[in-house]
Formats: sequence, C-alpha cells, structure tokens
Amino acid sequence: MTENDLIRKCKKGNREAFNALFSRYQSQVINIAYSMLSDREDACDAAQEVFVKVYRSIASFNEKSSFSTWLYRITANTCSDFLRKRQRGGNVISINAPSDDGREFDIEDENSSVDEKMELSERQAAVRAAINELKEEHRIIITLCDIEGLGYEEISRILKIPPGTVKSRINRARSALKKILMKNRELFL
Amino acid sequence: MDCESFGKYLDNYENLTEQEKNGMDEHAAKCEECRAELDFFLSMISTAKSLPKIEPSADFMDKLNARLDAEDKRVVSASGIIGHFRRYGTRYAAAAACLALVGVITANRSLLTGKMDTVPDGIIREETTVSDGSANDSGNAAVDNPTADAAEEAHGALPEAAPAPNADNTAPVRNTVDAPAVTRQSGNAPSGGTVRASVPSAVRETPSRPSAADTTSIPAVEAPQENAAASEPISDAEGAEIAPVNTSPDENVPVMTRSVPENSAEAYQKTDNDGYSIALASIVNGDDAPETYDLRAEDVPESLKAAEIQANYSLAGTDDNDIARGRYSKLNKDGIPIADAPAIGSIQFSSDDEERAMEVINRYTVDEEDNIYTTDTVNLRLILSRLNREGIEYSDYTVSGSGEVKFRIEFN
Repeated sequence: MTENDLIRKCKKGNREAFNALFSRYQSQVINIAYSMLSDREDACDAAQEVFVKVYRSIASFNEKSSFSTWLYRITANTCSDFLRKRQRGGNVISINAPSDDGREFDIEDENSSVDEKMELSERQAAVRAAINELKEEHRIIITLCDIEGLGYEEISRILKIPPGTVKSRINRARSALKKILMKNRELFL
Repeated sequence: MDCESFGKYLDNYENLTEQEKNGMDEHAAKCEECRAELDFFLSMISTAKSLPKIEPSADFMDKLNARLDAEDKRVVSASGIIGHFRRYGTRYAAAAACLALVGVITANRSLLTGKMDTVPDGIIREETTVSDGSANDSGNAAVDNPTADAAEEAHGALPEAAPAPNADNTAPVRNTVDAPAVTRQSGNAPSGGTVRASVPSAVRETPSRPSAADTTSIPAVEAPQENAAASEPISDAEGAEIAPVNTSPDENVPVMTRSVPENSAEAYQKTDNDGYSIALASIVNGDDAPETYDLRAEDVPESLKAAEIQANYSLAGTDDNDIARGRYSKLNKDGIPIADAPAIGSIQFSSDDEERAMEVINRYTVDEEDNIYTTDTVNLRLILSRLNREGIEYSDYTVSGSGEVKFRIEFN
C-alpha cells in the first residue's frame, strides 16, 4: 500500500493504517529525537508524543508537503518542547554511556580493528556529547543535515527557512561544534 | 590562498564550490597547521554522519496504541459533552430566558405594583416606562447600534458609525498605530460597525482575517474606556509593535488569537498546520512572572477562553521562544513575552514567491543572522511597499515608532 493510501485511510480514522504508517517512520523519528535530546528514554517519549500529535491532527495535513517533511517538523517542534521543559525544570541530562545497551557504538564495518573501533567509539561519544552542548537551533540542523543526511531543500521545508539560511546555519553549527570539540581534538587527528 | 582566508573558507565550507575546496586542499598540502584544521573538521563531520542509530523498543508500538486508545476516549468524552449541549441547548436557553424574565419582573415589581395601587382602574397608562434596572432609563431601551452608542459615550460623536455590508460577520478590527503607508490590497470586506478607540488618524485597517470577527466589536459596547487601552497593539520595550499576521482561513497560515484578560487570566491559543495546536495560558498573579502552562488549545480551561476575542495578533517570539513557529513564551501581566531580546515579528510568504520576496528583503535588510533579519522602520516600509507593488502576497507587519526592527521570514 502506498503512503498516500495509508494517509487517506488514516484520515478516515483507520487505526491499522496509522500503525502501518508509524511503523515505517518510528526509527527515523526516534533517532531524530535521540540526536536532539541525547537521552534514549526521552527520545522514546518524544517519539510517542509526535505520533499522538500526528494521530490527533492528521486531518489538518494538507499533503502540500510530503508526509515525512510534516512529520519531521512535528518531531523538531516536539523535541524543542522537551528541551525547553528540561531547561525549565533545571534537569541535567547525561549522555547515554557507550555501554548503555551494547548497541550504542556497534560498528558495522567488520574489517575495522579493535583499536579502530575503540577510537571511533570515543569520537562518536565526544561528538554526541558536543551536540548535546549545542544550542537548540544548531542541534536540529546538525541532526537533520549531518546525522540524518537530509538535503538542504527538505531541511528548508521542515524548518521553514530559506535554503540559503540552512547552509549558513549549518556552517555556524559546525563551527560551534568544532569549538566544543577542541578539548578532544586529539581524537580526530 | 593564505592561512587567514583558509580559516574563513573552512567556516563557510558548506557554501564552497568544488573549485574553492580544491584551493583549500592545495593550501593544506603546503601548510601543516591548516592541514590539521581541515582534517579535524572533516573527521568531526564524518563522525557525526556515522553516529549509530538506536532501535525502538519492542513494545514501542504497544505503548503507542495504548496512548492512542486513551486519546480516542478523551475525544469521545469531549464530543459527548458537546453533543449534550447541542441536543439540549435550546432548553438551556429557554430556561435562561425565563430566569432573566423573572429577574426583570422582580426588579420592577415595586414600580408595577405602585402604579397599580395609584391608578383606580388598575390599568397601567401608556406613559409608564418599565425599566430593566440598567443605566439606560431614558426610555430608549432598544439600541440598534450598541457599539456606536457606547463609543459615542466614550469619545464623542463618531464620523461614520454605520456598518458596512457584512460588518457583523466579517472583517475584524485591526488596530494599528503608526501603520506604514502600505496597505495590502487583497483581502475581504472592509471593516465596519466596529469602533476603533484611541487610534490616531494615521491608522489604517487592514482587511483580512475573517475569523473571530463577530466578537471583536463586543468589548467596545461593554467597557469602551477599558477596551480602548486593551485594543492597543502589543508592543515591545522599544515600542515596536508585534506583528499582527495576516491570517486567513487557509489552513497553512497559523492563526494566533489573543483573548482579552478576564479574571486575571489570559489565554493565548494558536492553531497551525504543524500537526498540533498549542495554547499558552498565562495566569497573572500580580507580578511579572506569571505561571505559564503549556497546553493544547482544547485543554485550556474554558474560563480562560470565555473572554471575548478582542483582536488577532501574531505574538512575537525570541531566540529561544519563537511563538511565530508555534512555540510559546512566558508572558508578563500585560501579555508581552518576557525576554531580554527585543520582540521579533514574522512575515510570511507563499513559498512560490520565495525567490522574489527574498530579493526584496535582501535589498533593504541591513543584517541577517540565524534567520533573524534586522532593518529599520523606514526600510521595513520600503520592503512592504515594494512587495505590494510587485504583487507579492505577504502577511502584514506593522510597526510603530522608529528604530530597529527585527523579523523572521517564513514560507508556507
């Protein structure tokens, strides 16, 4: 069944269609949330919230943009809400440790040596921690561009900013990330 | 290429052409320090791109479905209450009318019985005036145009109080002070039958926003003096008015409504096309740090929304709290976002006009950072004027006073 068929059924309140649609996107939504929030539990909570919002408001989706664009925009907004609540509550979130569940830093490349895996693991942990220190605006752009690999045009539509601004914001976000990572610079050389 | 320009190129890496990147490589081949900088930068990006994914927990969909079930029950419950009032609404109305009638008769009992006592035949003569106890005891009980009358009482004679066609159900009041000379040409019927209080002669009314029109004129009747102040546009500390967005029934365009404070409470609600509606309820507790609640519109207590809608505003945001994008901000007791940064408005365009709009914006904007454009009021007027001349549809942005103006640009 095509995505458009699913959306049409969702608009009629078909729960099975919702489940099918959500199953397709659950991984992307959770991972965007994880990049934004740096906490597995919060990411899952945020993803649930995103899908509830979609469930509640699918009728207002006018299909002028793609569903994924709409969904990712809701995800970004929801994560921003989570971050703001976290700030308001004064909570300090620690980054999930590499050994969190044994999967966090699994390396897919089986040809890598143990040392290489360890180095990459450390670099990844450092980058994840540095992203967590970025301000929200930079966090989302790094998440969408570098981690999720979305194109400028799609990011532009998700964040509702001109493509030129997407590029300049990516540059600024990377500069900020570089600055934070200076203390771990030796890991990257 | 020298080391200094190499650094600048690195900061602008995403915008570089292949030729420029090759130029960087050539320099890096000769300069060890710059080589290390480039390696660090590229390694950082490569690591970010390689960050491992996490998988949803096995029970993610089960938990989600449980939440959706709860959502269904909530909706059914709410619709049941609404259905009840729809079904029995006329009965409630009839009961209320009876109670009101009893009240009027009771209030005038002494008058009625007194007349009957003094007239031998017990018949009330024509000249007897029955009062409902209100201030209007002059016998002019029927008020055809209460809005105009109330305003006349407050401000003297109005030049033209006669309502325009459809004045009672279209074209809400848009009170703006020192509005630019630019007036958006498209729109609906002109406003009429409503009163603008405390508005200088330079004021314009921008035709737009048919929503909530039927309620905008009501407060002027009830308390013209107070509402004259309440109808002032929200302004930031520098006097820049927060942009009233030209909202339309189009579901793409966020609609932000401001409710008049009632019982020391204000409710701001917004619906947008981003998948959800957000309402912010700010309970004024006497100081500048009201409690703030993040609520969906439907969850705002009814008492907060009971106030008549006075006018529609687009609330400005700040860097951290961008209401224009569906976020919310803490408000002070006057309903103005509490923030160190000056308020930032927003201008919306159709994405079809992006290129032409940006050309105009860039021509008159003095600075842009993080999608916040800075200019001054003169240039803003020029921008709006130019957009108007070129037939580019845009949401209204009106300013008062002078000085720096900040705004965001959004495309729908």
